[in-house]
Amino acid sequence: MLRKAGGNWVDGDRFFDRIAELDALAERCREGTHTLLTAQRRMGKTSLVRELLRRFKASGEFETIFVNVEDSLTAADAIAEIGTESSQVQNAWERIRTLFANQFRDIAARVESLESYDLKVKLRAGIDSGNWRPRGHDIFQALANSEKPVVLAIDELPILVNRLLKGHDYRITFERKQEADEIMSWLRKMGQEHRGDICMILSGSVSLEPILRQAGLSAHANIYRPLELKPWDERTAVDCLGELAKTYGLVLPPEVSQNVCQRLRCGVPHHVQGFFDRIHENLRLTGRTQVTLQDVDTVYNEMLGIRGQTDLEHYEGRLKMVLGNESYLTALELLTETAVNSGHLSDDTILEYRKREPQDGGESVEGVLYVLEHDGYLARQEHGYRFVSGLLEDWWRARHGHHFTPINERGRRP
Amino acid sequence: MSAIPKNNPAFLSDEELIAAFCLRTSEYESLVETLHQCDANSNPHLIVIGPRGSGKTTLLLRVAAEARRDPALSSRFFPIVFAEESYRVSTAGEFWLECLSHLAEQAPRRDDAPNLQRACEDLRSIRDDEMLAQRCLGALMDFSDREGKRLLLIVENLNMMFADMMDPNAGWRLRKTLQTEPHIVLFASATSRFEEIDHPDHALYDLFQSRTLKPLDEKACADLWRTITGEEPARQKIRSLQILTGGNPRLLAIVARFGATLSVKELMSDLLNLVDDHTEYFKSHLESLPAQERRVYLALAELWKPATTREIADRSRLDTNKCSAWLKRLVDRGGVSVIGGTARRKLYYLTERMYNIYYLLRRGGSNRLVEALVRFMTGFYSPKELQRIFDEVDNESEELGNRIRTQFHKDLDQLNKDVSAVLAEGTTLIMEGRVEEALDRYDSAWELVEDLGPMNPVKQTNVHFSRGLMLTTLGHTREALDAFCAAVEGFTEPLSQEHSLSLACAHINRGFLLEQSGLVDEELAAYAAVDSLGTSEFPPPPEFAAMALVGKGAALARLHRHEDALATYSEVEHRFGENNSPIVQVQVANALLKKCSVLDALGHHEAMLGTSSSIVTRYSDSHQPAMLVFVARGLCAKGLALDILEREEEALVAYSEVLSRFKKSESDELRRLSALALFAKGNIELSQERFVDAITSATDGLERPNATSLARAAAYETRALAYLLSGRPSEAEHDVKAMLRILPELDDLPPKTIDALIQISCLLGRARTLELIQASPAEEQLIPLVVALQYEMGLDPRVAQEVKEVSKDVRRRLKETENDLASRPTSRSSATDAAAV
Repeated sequence: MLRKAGGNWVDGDRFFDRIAELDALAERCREGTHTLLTAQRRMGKTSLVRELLRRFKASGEFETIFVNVEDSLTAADAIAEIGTESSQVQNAWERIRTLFANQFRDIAARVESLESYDLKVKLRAGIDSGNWRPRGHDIFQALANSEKPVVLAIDELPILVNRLLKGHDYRITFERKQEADEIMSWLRKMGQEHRGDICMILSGSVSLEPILRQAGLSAHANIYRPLELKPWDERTAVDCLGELAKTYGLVLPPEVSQNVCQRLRCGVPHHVQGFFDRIHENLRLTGRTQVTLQDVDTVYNEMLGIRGQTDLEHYEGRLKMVLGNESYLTALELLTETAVNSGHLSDDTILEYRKREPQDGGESVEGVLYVLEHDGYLARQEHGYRFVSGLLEDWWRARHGHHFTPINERGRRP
Repeated sequence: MSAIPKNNPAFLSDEELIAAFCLRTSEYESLVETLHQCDANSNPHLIVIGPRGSGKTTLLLRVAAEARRDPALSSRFFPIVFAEESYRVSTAGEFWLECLSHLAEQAPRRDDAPNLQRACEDLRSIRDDEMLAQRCLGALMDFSDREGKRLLLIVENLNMMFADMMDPNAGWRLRKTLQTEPHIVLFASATSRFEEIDHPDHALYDLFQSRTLKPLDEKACADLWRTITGEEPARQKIRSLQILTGGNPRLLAIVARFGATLSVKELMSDLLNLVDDHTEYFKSHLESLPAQERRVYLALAELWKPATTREIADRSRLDTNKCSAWLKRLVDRGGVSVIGGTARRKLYYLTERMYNIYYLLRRGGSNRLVEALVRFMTGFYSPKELQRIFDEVDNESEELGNRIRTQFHKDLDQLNKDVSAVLAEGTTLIMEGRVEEALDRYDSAWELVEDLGPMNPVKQTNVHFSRGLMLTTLGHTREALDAFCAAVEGFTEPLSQEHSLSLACAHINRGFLLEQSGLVDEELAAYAAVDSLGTSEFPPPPEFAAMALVGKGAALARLHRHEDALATYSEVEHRFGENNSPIVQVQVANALLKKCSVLDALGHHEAMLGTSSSIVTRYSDSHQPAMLVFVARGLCAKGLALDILEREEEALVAYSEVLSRFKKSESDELRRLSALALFAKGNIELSQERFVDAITSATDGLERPNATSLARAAAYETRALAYLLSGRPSEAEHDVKAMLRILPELDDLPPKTIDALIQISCLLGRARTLELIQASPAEEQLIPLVVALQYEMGLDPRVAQEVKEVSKDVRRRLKETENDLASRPTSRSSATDAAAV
């Protein structure tokens, strides 16, 4: 019985499908391959990792550690997080406690009963900007010495790296770049040094590659083998909707769930489940259980309306981050051009954009199109491109389509 | 009536909250379902978004109450309810400290558990915020583990909290805990969406499932009304209030508390009183805004339509970029909403519609449109019924009353020659417009009287009474009331016949003034005092008791105590029916006529017919001009009752009797009543599709002098419709124009006039009707109809949301009217009429 996702990540009976991906990731762990999970937001990266760790823990095949570093401000904070979560691995923790004996001196007698919040405070007190590398090394060493190999999942690392790189003013400075460089190169070194004993999985709600690329640090990511999490295909999405409808006692005719999937076109799990959640809410407000095409229509329009717009806002924000200000504008134009032309961007139109390409800085039209294709906004088709996601296409049109003049019509109007 | 507190459901016990909870039930079920399913390693966190007064607090508190009440939930959750404003939270550490301190207040004390109050005090001294956060979280988790329950945090106004956060990483630290800590579930509220949850770069983006509280629909408004007043509301009344309050539960509750028994018309006219009574509520959020934001906010209020940044910037005389920044802050605070436009050209509107109306009404000057809307809504949402064009002559009885009062004043002057000479000087000065001098003169007169030595009680009463009368004439109501009070103060019994007369006069006049001030209870007390004088040693003449009883009946009718009012009027008839004094007879006739109005309001039209017939019978033989007026009014009331009872032919007879009996009368009032009878007759003929007769009656009525504006407008309506229905559009246009010219002269927009205009739009065509209205002085007055016609013609005018919503209903009625007209059988009489035409 599948239930609504509820939290921001799911595991156990709320986790749906992804069998092939779970197998692939498990296989990599067994092979000792470090992995960088890549996918657009809300594709289920964290859930996949959580579910894998849950399964490993249940089978006893690996020691598992899940670390979330999104609130870490410095490398030292991140090391303290890893150290704290390492308390889950019994013999590694004993060694770590010895290493941090000074910090635990006054509470040696009751250290076993300390909550992780207190542990973190104590550990953090023993780690600073001058010693985080050796301290971190010790922690990794302790983990590597545990009886079973360890799977170390570090979630939201891109947020930490982005923060180190840009600070609160979103400006990359030499010092900030150096800080980001230091933690990434150190992690790379740890990964290489303990390959076979510690297997790292990196993930995050934003992608690591564009951030590293901006700072020219992409090389640090090459010890991690990317695993791309793709959207669900239509069958999986329909199955998911069907399971949810069964759980919540809704009558969802096949043509209705197909209509949902056709509108979304791209089965981002969060969008599929979000669609269901909205339909459910809508029915609840009107006291019905039978889902109709009209409900789908209502909910879809809501998703495109002002209230729903923020859900997809990150698609736009991400482009700015990846492309920088000048190229971001080109991307904005190309996507809007595609949206207002019924979701199709022809090669002829692209040629027009190329002719008007600014000469000063920024990515070329080709470069921008590469990013848009690579990051799942557009897909190549015969004689041009099209939006991968129907939802994104409609959203983009609703958001940017007004007052936009297609390139071929510019100059025709006064 | 329910005892729902106005603004703060936090003061209710769980039982009271559960009993009073009648709205947002679907949202509540959804939230509770979420809690029931909250058993995974990752928790869902929810944010309820809605403007001030939309029911967020009540909803969340109801969920908290359920989490305590339902065994399945209470065994798994411990709710920690934050205060509505968490002013002390500016960092993540302080957030968790606040949480712990609320837990300390709300958790049951146990001897075997740590003292959370003391723990809070100890932790408060920690300066390092990270350490503070970890320690507080440690204590919270410790509690959670001990109790074996997840902590359900109910945090109000999260957007405000984040607006005041000093720690830029607070969001990320909070996110981290919420993402990874299965013991914590956060249910928050916000007055609007805000940057922290909406921007992909910000920490709380994608963290919450949001539930937006939409404005209440008509059904929910009616549910709330029923819960508070215990009465079934009229649909039209609810719809009008839904529009004006924007479906805001808190505002609707305020209105329900004071307007449970009021009609749409009374509610609308009391709107100003409502906003006056709740000035603090309306002003509170405005005063809390920084100066520049307030400027932008008020500019938008003045525009009173969905406005772009540029329009608001122009109105507030601010730079567009700055204006845009202030608007964004206002949107974040929930004071302003984005209600349309595009991402790059948003349209803004004040979230709290009632505030906008309050501001425009209180601001003066440019409030014509709001007043026009309110008048239109009064007419449009009042029940469909025959137009009471006779109500207008109600003033006549008041004039009679005034004449009587003046008469007694003259009598008093006779009795008090020593003061009247002094007062006469003051009166002359008033006539010359020298008000201040008149008052000075009066004060001198007062001193003069005082110098006469120990006050003669009778003189004292008379002087105060005269002063009260003068102040009444000057319009100084409060001072006049004080003077009348002083006149009667200390006298439970009159000291002489002359004194009794003075006291009765003072009480009666005080009663009339209190009526104008809306102080009904005191007014009733004043009339009761007159009545009690009747049992004293020196009873005043019976005219006073009759007048007081009529005043009492009217006051009771205003309180909607209709049965009591009827009993009072019957008492007048019973006690004074046989009295031959002309003044008393006028009061009896007045009581009977007012009784007809009450019976009409109660829908007792058979009884109304009986009473109106008895007026006619009782005074038919009278030769007094004042009594003949009552005969004519009695006949008109009879005609109205018969018309409502669908005894149209008999109604026509009653109206014809007015015309035949008084055709030679020279009295202005009787002529006016004759004209009204003609208009009413024409209206019946129109409904019978006797178009030629209807045109004749209306024309005859219009040719008579003294017809009121309301009656003339009604006559033009009747004639225009008769022309249109008999295929004479050009003549109809002439009458439509005439009617539109008259409308600005009317105090109210009668429901029938609006209906007539809707019919005219269907018969004459939308475009032409729109042209005629736009070319007339009534355009503003008919703004919802104008907007509806514009929409009908495919235009998209940018107008206030309230106007837009009323116009939607107008369009619905246009459609219905069109269908009715299309299905109208062409009767024999209309065919005959057409042939005659």
